[in-house]
Amino acid sequence: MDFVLTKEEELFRKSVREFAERELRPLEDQIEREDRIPDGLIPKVAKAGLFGLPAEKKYGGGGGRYLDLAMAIEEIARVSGAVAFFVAVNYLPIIAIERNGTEEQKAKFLPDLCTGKKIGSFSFTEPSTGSDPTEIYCTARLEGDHYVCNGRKEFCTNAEYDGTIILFLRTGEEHTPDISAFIAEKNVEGYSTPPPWPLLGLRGMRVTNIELKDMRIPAENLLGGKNKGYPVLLDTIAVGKVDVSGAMLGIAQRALDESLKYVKGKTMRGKPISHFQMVQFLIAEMASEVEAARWLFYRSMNLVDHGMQTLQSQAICKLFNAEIADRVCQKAIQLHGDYGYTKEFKAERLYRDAKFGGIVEGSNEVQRVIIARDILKG
Amino acid sequence: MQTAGMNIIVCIKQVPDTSQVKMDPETGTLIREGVPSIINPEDRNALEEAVVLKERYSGKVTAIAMGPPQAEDALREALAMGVDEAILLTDKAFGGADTSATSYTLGHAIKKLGDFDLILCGRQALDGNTAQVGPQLAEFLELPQVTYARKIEIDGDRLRAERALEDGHEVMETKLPALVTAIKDLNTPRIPTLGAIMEAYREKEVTTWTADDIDVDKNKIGLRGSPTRIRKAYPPELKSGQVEILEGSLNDMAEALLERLRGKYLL
Amino acid sequence: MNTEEYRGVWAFAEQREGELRKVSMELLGKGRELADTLGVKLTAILLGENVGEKCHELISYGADGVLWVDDPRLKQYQTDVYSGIITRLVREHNPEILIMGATYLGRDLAPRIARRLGTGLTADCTGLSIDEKMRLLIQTRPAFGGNIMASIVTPDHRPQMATVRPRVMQPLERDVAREGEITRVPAGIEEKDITIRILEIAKETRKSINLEEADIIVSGGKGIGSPEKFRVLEDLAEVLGAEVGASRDVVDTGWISSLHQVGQTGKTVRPKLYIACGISGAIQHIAGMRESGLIIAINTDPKAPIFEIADYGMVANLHQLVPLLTEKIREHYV
Repeated sequence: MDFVLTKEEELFRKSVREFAERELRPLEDQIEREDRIPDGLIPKVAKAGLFGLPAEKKYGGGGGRYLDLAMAIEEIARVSGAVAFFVAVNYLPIIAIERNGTEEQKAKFLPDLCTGKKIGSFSFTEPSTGSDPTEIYCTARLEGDHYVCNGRKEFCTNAEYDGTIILFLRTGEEHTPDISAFIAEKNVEGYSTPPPWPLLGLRGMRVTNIELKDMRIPAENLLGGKNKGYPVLLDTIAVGKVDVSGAMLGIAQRALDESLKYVKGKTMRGKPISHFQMVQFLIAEMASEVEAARWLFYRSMNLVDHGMQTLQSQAICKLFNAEIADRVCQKAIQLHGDYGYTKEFKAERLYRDAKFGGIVEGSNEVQRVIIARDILKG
Repeated sequence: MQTAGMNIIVCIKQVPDTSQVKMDPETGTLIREGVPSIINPEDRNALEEAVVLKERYSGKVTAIAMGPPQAEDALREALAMGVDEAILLTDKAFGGADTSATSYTLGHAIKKLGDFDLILCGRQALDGNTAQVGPQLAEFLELPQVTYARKIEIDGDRLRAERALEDGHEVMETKLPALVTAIKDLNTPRIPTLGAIMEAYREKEVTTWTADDIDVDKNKIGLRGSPTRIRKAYPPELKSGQVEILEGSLNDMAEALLERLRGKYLL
Repeated sequence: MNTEEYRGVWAFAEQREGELRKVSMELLGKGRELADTLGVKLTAILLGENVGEKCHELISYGADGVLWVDDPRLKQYQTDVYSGIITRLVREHNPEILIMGATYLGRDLAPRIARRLGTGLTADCTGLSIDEKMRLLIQTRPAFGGNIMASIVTPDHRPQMATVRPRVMQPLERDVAREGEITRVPAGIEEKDITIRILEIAKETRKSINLEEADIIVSGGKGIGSPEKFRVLEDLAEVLGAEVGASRDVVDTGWISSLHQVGQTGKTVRPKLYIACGISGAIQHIAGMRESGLIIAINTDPKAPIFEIADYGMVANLHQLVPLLTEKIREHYV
């Protein structure tokens, strides 16, 4: 067990950081202001090889590990949480297809996702449910060699972008967990997205509902077997929690960086406020929380690389990272005082961005249930 | 130029990231530990240009660095940027070299590599800032040189370059082989992808050469081969941390300020 | 190399388009001091086309003699041609010291000459003095990104070469009555020395504002008073070769464009020298410039927070002090 990064890992992390500083930093305020990711940025992310990092090379991926993906998301989120989520959500269909798809499906769908030609989405949530498969009401009805799909999906990231989406639809009896996962093309006939939800934070990450009206999906796009959608969901999320945890870690690190900058510069009675013990305590707490979150996160990703992740291990990571990000960002605002409450400084944006972590992909409450259930088994 | 494309050599140096060097507020001295090492920034511009030329005209790029064993990381990064081969010149005997001994050592290594079309270097290193190794290497190898290059074009066996001047530029032309030193304006160095990094560490090789491998006169390398010697090194005037208020008439204040600026070599 | 056989201090006089560059006179000022300490002659080396009248200028700035080479092929600087001639002259006359300006030209030429002569060269010296006991030139320069000062010597090789940045040394007072020996020497250029063709030389006006890369920034805040009064800072910036920065207040009020804004919502800068004029020093501004090498503050309010992070402060009216600084710098340093 070696907790020191290898030279390769260090060089990779440095490279992603340089990319984020060079390409994202000049745009972060614009992304926040306009609530969109500039078109020109997507090809740059693709060229930097940041889509498809852990996918196999033969499908156009980078052939790396989930740990590499984890570091990349963290470094991107340090500059822009919105871009980090945009990139990270793209990975959910890649993960789902690589782990559950047939060879034909992998060869057909993975290359474009890995090279950024198509933007990925992952849609389970409906007005009736965020995590319970028995309350899925969107249906897929087999008609010949196609499924005809109807219903409304809610809160789907990247749903507007052309590309590939994994849709979870009911193929079995109502009020049972019999749902299936489908690989589908977005923006085809029968698929529409109303304007995005105006959000508290992560502006630039666009989240919309999806209206399915007799949308047709080829039967061969069924992913992982009929009525086997829930295991596909759980498996993908267990691996894909990388996105939320990584983004939370990056945001928390940034909040710490900004706070350090502030307390060294702001003076009171002729001294920087970093001289005052109260400030020092807050900084120490923030640094400890970020450090613990980082190593828990890397460990969780390392488990995935070994195929040893469990619902519990991933839930613990997600819960912890989401909660410390919230705490660290809150402390950052306190340290900045009045200035922390203004939009002039970054603390308030980071605080709003961090809030999402405790809600999306299984809220903090759901994570607690998962952890307890798993520990108390047997 | 050979029909097989261009054979380009890039000389790089691993340097401490001086922008991250911190000052100990108590003693006013540098905290050198834990400062990350990087490829000298202008050497990255040289590497980028070499790889771009190779992509355009086909050929081969060899990166060469003289330094302690950890300079290998700089060469791996160069490989990740697209360089084909990497040579690390490392030997205790090379230690303490000034620019003269360094250019002599690099020159001998390059002679061992055989024919080449172009040598690219960064104009100057972050830690030494002398900008001497490039021209001294060119002199040793008897090559025409273009320093402060911010644009390079190849036309058959001729090199055309735009050289920066204090207040403008000049366009010059010379025959290959030649040596060019690059400044930041030359290009934007590419950021290696994960795939390229893995390939650099796992599939490409860094060859190590010691003094014996490159047939040098031991009296002309390292400290022994350096005409210049550091007699003394000392920290500059300490920053007290307190503001010094300059007083007196306007004229007094102005004079006092200018004197202090001169003393800090800012004027 | 028997160092005892080398005598004399040489200074390379750089000219551009027939005009002597200021650094040449600065070199002579320091050269004079070195030569007097050593009890030897100071000789200026001048290469160019039709530059004969400049020889007297060099004498009046302190040279005892001038070695002057005139040839149409010397009109434009070229590495191999210039280094060939100078190294030949050095081998004929054996000076113990050769100093040059650390200009774009000097940094191209000096290392080439040093290598050809097999001698040592120290770049960008901020100080030059003589160790009389050992008859050595002590060359002082900053190293490690400016964080350390080093004293360097060239004990066993000659000439001891050093380059000096412009505006570091002081020229002597011009004395037209001064006399010296002007010697014209043949160029002796061979075709094989001409390895480079210069196709074009172009002057450029500085286009874009690049605060993040600037070495010196002169910055203005509310104390400036009105948009026209920014002129005062622009003049100072011009003589210093600096960029102009501004606090958010004056950008919001429209006195200057936001491209100049330094601060939390503007640019973060780390110049070697930051001169804050009429800026109070609110944290939003400080966040953007705190890491500057040296911070100078000028403000009429002695309690302004800017003084807490400044290295040198002056409680004064910038409209009176800044023009005075500009004038003095222009007189003595430009």
